[in-house]
Amino acid sequence: MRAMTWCAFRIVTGAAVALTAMLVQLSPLDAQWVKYPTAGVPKTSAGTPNLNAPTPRTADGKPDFSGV
Amino acid sequence: MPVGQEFTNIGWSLPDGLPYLPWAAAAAKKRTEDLRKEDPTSFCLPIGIVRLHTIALLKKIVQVPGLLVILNEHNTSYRQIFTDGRPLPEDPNPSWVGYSSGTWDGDTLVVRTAGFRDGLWLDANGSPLTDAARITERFRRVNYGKLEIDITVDDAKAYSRPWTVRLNQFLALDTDLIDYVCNENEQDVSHLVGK
Repeated sequence: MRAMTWCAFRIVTGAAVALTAMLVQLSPLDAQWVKYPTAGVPKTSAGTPNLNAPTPRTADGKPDFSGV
Repeated sequence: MPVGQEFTNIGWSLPDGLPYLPWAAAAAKKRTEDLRKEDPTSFCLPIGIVRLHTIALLKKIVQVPGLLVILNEHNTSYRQIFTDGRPLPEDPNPSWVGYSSGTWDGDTLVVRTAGFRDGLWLDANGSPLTDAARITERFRRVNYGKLEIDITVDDAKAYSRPWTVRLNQFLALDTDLIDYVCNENEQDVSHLVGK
């Protein structure tokens, strides 16, 4: 009986590990960076991105094209 | 992502169209009639700096002192624009993207590029770019979300005079570049028979 229980435990554990691995590989889009929020976006008073905000600038005062 | 008219015809906004020399006009006409079967894009080859601006794939600019890098989703490629004051090379090895050096004119980054390989296409119509070409781009970030690029093509082998077009590009938020490898599972070339 004990042997059977151990065997069943191993089967269940193995299946759980395999299922977890499969789910990790099939991660939904929200785990990918194509949906990652852009940092530092200026916002309007309504909280939406303000794409008309002033041009960002580098430390030396030049326009910063980074991220475009 | 919308495709601008310039992807098909880079001179779309010019009232009189592109000032082709006769051979260049004939080449563009034949390429269009042949359904673009000789388009470098059809063979998964690089497409040059002008088409990288008009193709409907994302790009990302990374700016550091002395250098601006454009990462292109198209064929997972890159372009370097040096802003360290270096002159353009005198006799460069011909290149798909050329050699670019930029200087500041106020808030505008003026980028001059030369050293192209012969036989590039500027658009899907097959407007040619030769190895004699010099391209000047004026990059201006108008505000947080908009980039304006004026492109001047000076290529006396293919056009009767220099010409300039303006492209407007818009920031894509909350996303990133993904792999685009044209040759992966490519099965189309053998079917491109033209007209």
